[in-house]
Amino acid sequence: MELGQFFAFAGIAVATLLASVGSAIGTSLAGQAAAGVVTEDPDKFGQTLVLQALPGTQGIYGLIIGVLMMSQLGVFGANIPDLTLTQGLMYLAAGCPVGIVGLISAIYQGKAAVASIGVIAKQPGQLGKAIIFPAIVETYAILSLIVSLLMTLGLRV
Amino acid sequence: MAIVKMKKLALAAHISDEEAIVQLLHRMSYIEINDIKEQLSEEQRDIIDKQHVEQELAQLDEYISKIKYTLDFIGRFVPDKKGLLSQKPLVSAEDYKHTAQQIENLLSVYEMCRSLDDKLTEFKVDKTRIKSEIEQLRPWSALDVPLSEIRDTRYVSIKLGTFPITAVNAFAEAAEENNASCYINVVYQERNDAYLFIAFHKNDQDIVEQLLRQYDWNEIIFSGYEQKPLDYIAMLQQKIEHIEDEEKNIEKQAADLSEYRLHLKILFDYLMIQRQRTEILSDFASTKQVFILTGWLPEEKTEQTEKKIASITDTYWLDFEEPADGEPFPVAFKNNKLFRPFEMLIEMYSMPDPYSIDPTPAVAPFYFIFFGIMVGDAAYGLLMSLAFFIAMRLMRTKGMGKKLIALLALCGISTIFWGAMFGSWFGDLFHIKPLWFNPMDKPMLMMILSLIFGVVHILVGIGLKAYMNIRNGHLFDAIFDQVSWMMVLGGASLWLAPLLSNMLLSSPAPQLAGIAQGGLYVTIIGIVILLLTQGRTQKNIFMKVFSGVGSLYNITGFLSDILSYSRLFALGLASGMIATVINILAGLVGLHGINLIISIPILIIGHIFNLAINGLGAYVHASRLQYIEFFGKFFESGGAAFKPFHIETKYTDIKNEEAV
Repeated sequence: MELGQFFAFAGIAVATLLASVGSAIGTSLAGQAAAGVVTEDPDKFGQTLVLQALPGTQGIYGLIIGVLMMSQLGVFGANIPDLTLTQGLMYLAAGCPVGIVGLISAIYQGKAAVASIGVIAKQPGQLGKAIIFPAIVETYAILSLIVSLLMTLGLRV
Repeated sequence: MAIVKMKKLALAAHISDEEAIVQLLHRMSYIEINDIKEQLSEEQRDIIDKQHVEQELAQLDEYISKIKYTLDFIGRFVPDKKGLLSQKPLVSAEDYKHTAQQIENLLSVYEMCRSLDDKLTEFKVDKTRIKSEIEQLRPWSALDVPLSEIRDTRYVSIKLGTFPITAVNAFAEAAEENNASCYINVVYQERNDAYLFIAFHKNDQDIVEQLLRQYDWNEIIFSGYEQKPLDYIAMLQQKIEHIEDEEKNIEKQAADLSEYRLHLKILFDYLMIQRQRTEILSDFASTKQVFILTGWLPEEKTEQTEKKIASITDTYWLDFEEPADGEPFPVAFKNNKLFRPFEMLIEMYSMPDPYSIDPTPAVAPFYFIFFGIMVGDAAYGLLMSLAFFIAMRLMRTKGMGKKLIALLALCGISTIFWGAMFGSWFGDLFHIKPLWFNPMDKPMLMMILSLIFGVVHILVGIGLKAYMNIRNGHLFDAIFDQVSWMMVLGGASLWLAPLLSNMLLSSPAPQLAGIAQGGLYVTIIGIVILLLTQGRTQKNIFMKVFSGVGSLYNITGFLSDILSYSRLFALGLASGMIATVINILAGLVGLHGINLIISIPILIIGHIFNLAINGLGAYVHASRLQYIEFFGKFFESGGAAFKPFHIETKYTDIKNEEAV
């Protein structure tokens, strides 16, 4: 019984933890590049900030799944229902897509954002185009979010 | 609702009217001037004399860089405050001219700034020098003797200097071993070095000096210093203070100059306008008597242009010409007020080929809907619309910025609509019932809704390509390449409709069965057309068959395009869920009594953050759906944007552009 609850919590942890770590790395990569550009030209703060924010969404997707699972499990309420081992493991499985894809895609999106910040450094008017390159990477984080979301919603306890 | 038709313009007039005509064109701001040199032969180019243009430009550039320097210098001491809604000062044409007459006066402000700046640099150098002197003296501050008295006496030699710390004892021992009487006083110790006062009898000079060298002695000689080190340091510090006072004084003087800032800004922009008017001359061809210019202008402006030029002079020759067949002309869009903001999305991507179509009317409704679904919260939509409609009223932005503000204001309306449909008002803060359904309760319905939008969007995209083909007289291409695919996609969607509704909505819909049957037939006809026609350009019979079958593989491309629209579902849900998380957090603190002090800031900051991050996400992903999934079906890029010769200012806005 208790093992089931443990694995359900592990699912919440995997979803939020891995995705957030990825976003932290991704935004940090982009942030370093952005800071370099801003030292040269402080007016580009706003534009580069937008690009830095892009790899940050994976962490939010992880948070969404985490909170959704918590609200299903009644973590905010008084008592957490008993779960079988299988149920717990299913929560763990449901947390994996958004966690793992979030981790990896955020890092790579961060790298794409770094390159796009390079575009802004030389071509200030091209934010509209530069923003699209990292956004393409994000597609896969969105897809994994959808899968995790549908899995979790299908797991009504 | 289309790409503006352009005409080629050629104008020749007497050189004495050149200035007036340039001024006129600059004010009109709807003529793009071409560099005439590109149309001339080498020989013809040599005849044209550009020297005076270059001289004039050099003079203007010198003034401009001086004024820019002055503004930057003043800005170092009195920052030019920029609030959220602050704008550039509005200046009338008369004021520009009036300020331009004071140019001598303002250039003297430049001279003043220059000399203040020089003084500041000088002070900075002085300060660094004095500081390094203090650093040199500081280790000796324990030496309570005037430095002038530290010198050799008749029998005794006295030295100041440093040893590496490890060498001090070794030296002392070595001196003792050699029977050299030597007085050593460690005045000060650092991490690595010891500062020593050493006295020894002159009889031992040779041996001591040899030992000193052996242990890396670094002798320090203070010449010209009279006082005790500590007194000297105090004196130097006073000097620094004095310099700092002077610096403050100069900073104050520089700050006082900020009263000229507005005038400097006006002058700067005046000079910029003059520069633009001078620079354009290098695109003209001129002799001693006549000048010629060529360019593009919108067809509808031809009469107006002719009239205006006639009002200046009657010795001119003006000619308008249609672009030759297939000759590329600069691209500008013409749309009604509601669609105009969406032009920005295409301008950001790439201008379409001048002979293709303006996609704005097709982009606008879909972008509007997609943005609304992705933010999907009525309260956020209200905030957005309110903020950006106010910004539209209050701010005088131009070009892209203006369009962006209008775009966000409009998309706010769509966000209100979808938020109300999905029952999200700051998430679940007020527990308002959805007008349609809550995506959290029926995620699959939301998913299917997204994919339906995707199918429609892609069908419209293919349809536009078919339209372009038909318009260009390729009716069969349109039927074989586009209509066939529209039949496959549309038919398949209808065919799947009852299946999906049974499987996902758990509500069987028998009335859909007939439609599904029809859809299946349409799909099959589409596939047959594809099989028969996709190999039509191939010569070899095998290649014909192979191309036909192979083209069906494209179905995977369409499938992934359509699935890409599931982001509507994901992002729409995401913003609602984060809003809910924020509400939960605030709820944990408590939404009553004294707890409100903490929970209300949580709500405000949290929701603003959520709106910002989701607004950005919606903007980016709604654009992406246009650029990749939609434009990929029909867009022909390769046009150059229409860049009319127009007035550009940096620090000010012009009140009456027609008089500048």
